[in-house]
Amino acid sequence: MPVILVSSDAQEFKVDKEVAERSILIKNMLEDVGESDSPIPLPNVTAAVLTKVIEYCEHHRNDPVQVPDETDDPRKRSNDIEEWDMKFMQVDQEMLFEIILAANYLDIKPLLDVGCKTVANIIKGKTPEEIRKAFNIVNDFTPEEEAQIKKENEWAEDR
Amino acid sequence: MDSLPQELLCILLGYLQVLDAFRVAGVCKHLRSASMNLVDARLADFTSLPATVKDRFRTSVISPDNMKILKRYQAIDLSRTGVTAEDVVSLIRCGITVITIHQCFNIDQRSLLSGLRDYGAENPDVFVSLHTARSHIGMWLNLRSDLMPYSGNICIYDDNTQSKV
Repeated sequence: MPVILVSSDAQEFKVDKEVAERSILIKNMLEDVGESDSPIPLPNVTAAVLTKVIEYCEHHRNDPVQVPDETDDPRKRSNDIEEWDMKFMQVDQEMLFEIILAANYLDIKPLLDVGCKTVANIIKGKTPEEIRKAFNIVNDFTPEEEAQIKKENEWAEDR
Repeated sequence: MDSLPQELLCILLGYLQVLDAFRVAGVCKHLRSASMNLVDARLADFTSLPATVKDRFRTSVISPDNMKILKRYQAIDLSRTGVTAEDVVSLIRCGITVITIHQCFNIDQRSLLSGLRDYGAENPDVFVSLHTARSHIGMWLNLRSDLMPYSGNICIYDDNTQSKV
């Protein structure tokens, strides 16, 4: 049975229920309202972002649902990303952050995971100055504060 | 990135390798605050760092702010670093209780076990797990038996089999 999702800019998307239910937010909404043809408004997600999110959910429609495991060994987490997901995340930075925000809002843990890993991989090995440049961030430290921070991290420089 | 809400930023930065988290803390005030409140940060992995950095790592070189970041990680892997027994005990006293110390040749095992025994006596409710590889287990066991009473809330794991020894 299809479900109709409505983006913040009033665009309608007809998607399979099992695809829409990759979002825990939507799954819970559908459970609450029961059988209904009413469109589901998603006021925090634009059509452009929702298109990407649906593309992700379509591709991963048959993946097993992730269950958070309290006994998970904390020493096991890698920032490896599957090839398809890596290609999927090759978007401009604005879209990347929009996808992360949408994944968080829609409660799609695997998508949030991939988005965060993508950003972590961009940051990996960069100096603070390179990170500022990569993400267009303004340095708001005083010269004294910056010197202090540099001194604190001196031991971690590869020299 | 600094336009993301703080709550989400804390999740995102939790994916960073620990040295990257230290560096991010030096980018701007917003990220500095977020990096000290990382969420779900799992392993602070020092094993893949350059040899010079691994040799230099000591708890004494970690600033209080960087220690705040380090403490957000659920586990730390110090294998093949230059840490000493005092460093390990000091990390445990800071609340980092899942530590891998394979091939840390500066660790005096007797001092470490003695430090752990004292810590265990003072903190009977805290569970500490140390991980090392099978080749080192024999030595640990011999020394541990010399240092009875051994605190049952401190466990040494064989990293190959994940079994308690």
